[in-house]
Parts: sequence; structure tokens; C-alpha cells
Amino acid sequence: MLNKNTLMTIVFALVAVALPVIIKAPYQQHILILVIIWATIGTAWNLLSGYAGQVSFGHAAFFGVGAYSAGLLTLHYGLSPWWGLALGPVMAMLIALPIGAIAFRLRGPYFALATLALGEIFRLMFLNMTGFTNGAKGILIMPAITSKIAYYYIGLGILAATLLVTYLIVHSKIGYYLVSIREDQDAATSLGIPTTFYKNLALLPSALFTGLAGAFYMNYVTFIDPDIVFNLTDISIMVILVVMLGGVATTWGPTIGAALYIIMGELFRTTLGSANVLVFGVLVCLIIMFLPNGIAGELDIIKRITQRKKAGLSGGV
Amino acid sequence: MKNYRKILTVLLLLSFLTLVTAGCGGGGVSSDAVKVGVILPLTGSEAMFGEMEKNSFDMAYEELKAEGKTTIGDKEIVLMYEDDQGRQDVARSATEKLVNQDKVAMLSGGYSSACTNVIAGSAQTLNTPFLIVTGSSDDITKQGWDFVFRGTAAPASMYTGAFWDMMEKVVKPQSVAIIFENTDFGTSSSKGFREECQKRGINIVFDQAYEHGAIDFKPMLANLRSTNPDMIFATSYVMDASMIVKQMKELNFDTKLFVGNGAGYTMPEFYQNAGAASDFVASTSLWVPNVSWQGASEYYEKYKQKYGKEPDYHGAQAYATMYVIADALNRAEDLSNTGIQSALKDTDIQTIMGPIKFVDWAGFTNQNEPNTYVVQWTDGKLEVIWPEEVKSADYVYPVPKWSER
Repeated sequence: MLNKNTLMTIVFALVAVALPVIIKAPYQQHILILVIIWATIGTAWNLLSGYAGQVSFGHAAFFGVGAYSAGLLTLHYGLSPWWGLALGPVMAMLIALPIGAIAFRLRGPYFALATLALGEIFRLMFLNMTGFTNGAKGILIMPAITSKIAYYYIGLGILAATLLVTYLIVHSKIGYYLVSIREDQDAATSLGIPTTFYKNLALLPSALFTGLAGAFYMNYVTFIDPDIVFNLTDISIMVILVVMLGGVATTWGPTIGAALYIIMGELFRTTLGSANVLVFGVLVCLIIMFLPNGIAGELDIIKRITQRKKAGLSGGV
Repeated sequence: MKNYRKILTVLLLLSFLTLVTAGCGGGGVSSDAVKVGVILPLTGSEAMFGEMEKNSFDMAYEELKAEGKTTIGDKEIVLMYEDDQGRQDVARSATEKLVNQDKVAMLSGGYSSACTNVIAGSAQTLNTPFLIVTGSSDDITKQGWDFVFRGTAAPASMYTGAFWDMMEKVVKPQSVAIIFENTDFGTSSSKGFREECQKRGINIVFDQAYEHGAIDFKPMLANLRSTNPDMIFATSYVMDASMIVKQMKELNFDTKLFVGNGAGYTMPEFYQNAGAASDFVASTSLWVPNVSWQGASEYYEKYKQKYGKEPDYHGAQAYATMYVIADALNRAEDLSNTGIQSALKDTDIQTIMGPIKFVDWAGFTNQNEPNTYVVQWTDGKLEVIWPEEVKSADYVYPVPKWSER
């Protein structure tokens, strides 16, 4: 018989597949697609920063390179931006290689600062290479597909692949090495783990899937400029918040975080007027303060609180 | 067991929140209303402009209501504002929500070029008329999108129409320097200027972009001074604009004419921040309160009184746009997307931004031919100096040296 986890994963997958059939309104489908994009970036970030503990503030670099791979193919060669789904991840990995080689010599805050600079370097580069990238004017494409359902399933496939690969890596020998590097790099080295090699092994898939999400984003949103896709706060920091909210170093955390972040953000934006960003920000602060391990990481606490409430209620009756 | 709980939580949250989102929208507006979706940056770094445009929309709406022009048949026009936070993926969400969920009859708004690009693209795909307020990137009306209209905003490369007329008749520069902020607006408007210079054989001796929001312009200005241009042409938003002229004054850097390309150089905040350094700075402009179009100065006074702030051309764009919307909706044979589209196409109306008509010209579609002006600061007042028919003061050229003021 199948074990319970596998069974529930299958149920979850079926629900995800059925969702656009249940929710037919294009607006809600649009929100779901945004959730999927952010869940993908979050899961990819989580592999490097959650499991291996190498906190990256520069994932916008991979995201942007992925998005621009798709955009530039259309701009210069007239190819369909869908080819970006093939080129984007490769380009993201190619830029990740030298970055890993250089930045993984640094640790802790120094690594974070190096990646922070990285995202900004790419933003400025793409902003100023106007002949090649169109600079601040950005790239505008006309989408070939207008059905949300198609985007939803393509996005869902990307997310499923990201989750699967991350799961496999984390539950293999590599995963244990990564966690040991996060917990104590010196101890890991002394045990004979080639730490730089394994850090790169976490960085490459992380860059790959972030680049893939970027290329998909270009196809879906149809307009990019350097300030958008290489944005420090709207991409690099936002992915950190998404994962923090959902649960660092958990399989489903980034997906839960993305769903919460996007849906709550949209909900507040449409109902609270100009105060929306403020209220949203306060709420995110509160969640991170009281549930420092994120929703998925603190399930036991949430369970205990709800059960206590239930117990209290039944006691009163 | 643990995973089972997690998955359940995700599903519950997802379904719950989606349902709530579905339940929220459009609840407050009755079905017999003509809904007009207005997408503006009400939060974020562009919120200052978004708010000014929203206020102006509201002010125009109240005036139209008093004239009974906001009721079509038995249906009332309702403005539904959405915040795009100055981010284009949010702008897309707002467009999707307004069109698919709130079922608006048409869209308006659009401040930054990036957001306007995305709204226009989505509106065209969704076959919903979209009347742009501010977004000025050339490309938007060059895609052949027949549901996208731009009335009160000129394409960025055309901001300088009246200015070239004055250049030919008065300034006649031999050499110019171009500085611009590194944004879509900055690059597309300086591109237009650069091409005009090349066409007219004017020597460009300095041509440099700077990072938006920089604090020290002196190295750039020092390099610029060594090229000794007859004239400087600058595209900046307000904080950069006032920094640049203040630092020019500190460097005692004289030039015969400094021309700003609208945006920051015409805002009241420019004078407040730059003080005396703003004197004699000229600028291209789409609108100034003392232009001779009917209603312009009344709008300015009324806005100032009502909101306690001075509006600039952004507010005027929103105000005039509301009049265009009401006019088109009143004329539309039916309130379907194509009905409103053809009513917009037939627009011929006089607004505080001058006459507005949607025509196809020079590769643009549904683009009004803009009226532009040259203005100049004198003692904190913005005077129209060109075209001569509508001027409110005489031009000062060449401007006096810093040491002689």
C-alpha cells in the first residue's frame, strides 16, 4: 500500500490540476499563475538558502537573466519567447557558475552582501547596454497564447519539476551534506565534505529554476525592463519574504508562502485602498515575529493553539 | 501525518482566500452602472502623481455630475480605482480584475510607461477600450492596438514640438549637451531630441545618462562644462532636477539656456527645492495653469483650494481625460466595447489641455496630436514663452550669468 505522504501528494497534485476547472474566472486564474511563479522562485531559493544556508539577496539576477533570455530572442531574432524556457535556465546556470566560484569563498553576511551586489550589477548592466537590451525602454511582446489555462498548466509543470528536483536533492546524500554545511561548515569540512563543490551543487539547480521562472514570467506578463526583473525589493527581497512566511527549509513552505503572500497582497490591494501596503507589511512582520519558522515550520504550534481553543470551547459547553 | 496537515492547510487557505477575493470585488456597485476602471499608482514611489491624478478625476467627475453628464440613460458612470503600486505585474492583476471580474466598460489611467505598456497590452487582448492618461513611451501607440487611445499625453519623443519652433526662430544653438535619467521616459525623450539635433545638423557635444535618484551631479556637470555647449537639454524628475540646477549654481556654471524636458522641471516642488537657482530655467511642457485654453486656470485655482496643493500637468491630464471619457460615453450608441471604441475614435473635444482628437499619424494609432509649450521660470512663477500666440511673458535669452544676477 502507498504510504500516507505519497497519497496526500497525489491528492494535492490532483487538486492543483483541477483548480482552473473549478475556478473559471480569468482574474482568479491570473492570481493562481502569479502564485505558481512565486512558488517556483521560492522553492528554488529555498534549496540554496534554506537547506544549504547560503542566504542569497541576488536571485533577481537569475530571474532577470531568464526573463531577458526570452525577451532578447524575440527582440533580436524574432523567435518565439517560448524558446526562452530552454535558453533562460541555461543562461542562469552559466552566470551562476563563475558567481559560485567567487562568492562561495565568502561566508555568512559576506556571501549575502556579494549576492546583493550581484543583482544590482546586472540591473545596471542591462540598463546601460541599450543597444543589446533596449535599456530602460524594456521589451514588449505580443503573447501568442491568450488562454490562462495554458499558462496555468505550463507553470504548474514547472513548479512540479522544481518541487520534485528539490525534494530528490534534499532527500539524497547531497541533502544531508547541504544541511551539515548550513549547521557547521567547519565541522562539515573536517568530516571530508568538499563544501564549495556541494554549495555549487545547490546553486546550479537554484539558478536553473529561477531562470526558468523568469522566462515563464516574460511570456506571461509580456513586458520587462531592467528595473522590474532585476529589482532588489520586488524580486530578491520578496522571494526571501515568501519563503520566510511559508517556512524555510521545508518542502511545501515556499508554495504556502507564495500563496499567502500573493493572495493576501492582492486581497488587501483591492479592499484597503492606499493603506494596503502598510497593513500588508505589518501583517508580514507579525507573522515573521510570532512564527519565525514560517507557517509550514511552525505547524505544531499552530496545531497546539487551535486544539487548545477547541478544548477550551468544549470545556465551556 | 505531518505532511497531510501541511497540505490540508495549503488547500484550505487557498480555497478560502480565493473565495474571499471572488466575493469582494464588484460587490458595492450596482449592476446598472457604467463602470470605468482607473489604474493609478496610489502607493509606492509614484504615489504623489497617482494621488494628484485621482483627485483631478474626482474633481472633474463632480463637475460633470453637477451638469448631469454622468448619467447615461438610467445608468450612472462609476469610477473604480485600482492601485498598481508602480509595479507592472500588479498593473496586470488590476487590469484582469477590472475587466474580468468587475466587468468595466472601459479602462483609463496608466502613469509610468512600464505599467501603461502592460495595461495597454492586456486591454488590447481583452478587447477593452483603454484611454491613457500619462504613460508616454512611444511604443505604446505604435503597436497598432485599436483599443488603446492616448489623448492627453504626447508620445515622449514629441514633447518638444513647440520647443523646436522656438529653437529655429530664437535660440539657433551650434552645440548642445544632453543629460537624462536612465528610465524609459528619459531614454525615449532624449532619443527624440537627439534625432532632431542630428537632422538639423546641431553638434551634440555631451550625451550622458545618469542614475535616477543620484545625489552628486558635480562630476557629470564638471565634465559637461568642459565641452562648453550653447545649450543644455535635461530630462529628470523633480528631485534630480532641482539638485542639478542647484549644483550648477554652486559650480558657477553659465550656459546660454538650460532647458528641462517637462516632468520635474515644471513642478511646483522644483521651485521649492531649487529656490533662486530655478530662475530662467526653461522647459518644454504639455500644460501650464496660465495657458490660454479655457478652464485651465480655473482648474488650477479650484484644485489648489480644494486639496491645498498645486497641481501640475499630470493633474490636468487626468482632469481632461475624465471629460473625454464622459463625452465619449454620452455619445456612444451602445455601451459595448466596440460601441465605446468607435465613440472614442470620433472624439473632437476642447479640454483644458487643448483640443483632443484620436488620429493615426506618423506610425501612431489613436494618438492625439499634442499641443506643447515652452515655459520659463521667473521668480518662482512659470511663464509660457512659446508659442507666441499663447505666451504669458517674453522669453529671456540668453540668460544672465550667475555672477550678474
